[in-house]
Amino acid sequence: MSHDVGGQLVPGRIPRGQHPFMPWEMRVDALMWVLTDPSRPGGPQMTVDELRYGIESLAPEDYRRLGYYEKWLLSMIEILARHGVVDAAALERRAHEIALERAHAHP
Amino acid sequence: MSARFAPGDSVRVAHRGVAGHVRTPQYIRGRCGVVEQVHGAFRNPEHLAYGIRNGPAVELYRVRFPLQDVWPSADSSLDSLDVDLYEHWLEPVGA
Repeated sequence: MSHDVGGQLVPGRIPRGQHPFMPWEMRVDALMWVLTDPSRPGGPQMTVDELRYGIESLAPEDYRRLGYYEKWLLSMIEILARHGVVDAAALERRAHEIALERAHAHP
Repeated sequence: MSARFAPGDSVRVAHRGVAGHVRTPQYIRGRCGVVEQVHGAFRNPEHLAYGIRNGPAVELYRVRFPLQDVWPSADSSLDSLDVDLYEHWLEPVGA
């Protein structure tokens, strides 16, 4: 499992600095709090355990390449699609549209 | 549900390869340690990971391992490592 790295030697030094959070990263964090809120009517939409399992299930190359909140987001999309809350294909289409709009706005 | 182990008990971590979500790191499987603290019973993350929220609660323990046993090259005979482990991962070690 690519995530279970305890005790393994890694090349180079582990960067220990902290970068400022991007607005989208804070939104992903906030969304997770809303989705796992036990006081939500009908109970939480998902659990942190599901989030973790989703992250662990990413392809090893994605697990190594993606940033912390990118992994969260991919896992959340996968879970919410499975729960029938979001349509993954529609999400993909909308992301593509936004990318095109941005490309036109800032050529 | 009552805890099978008490502080001071020697335990071995199951040497099990399991697909899917577990909270027992690879490096501690098969190692022997001593129960330091009984945390109480919690819902099993190995169920919660799959959206099963009404499963039975499982006792959770803080188990202490000599660091030298886990990583012989660490050269730290005075250090120890504490790991939180669920009861179904622990086996008794003969006293």
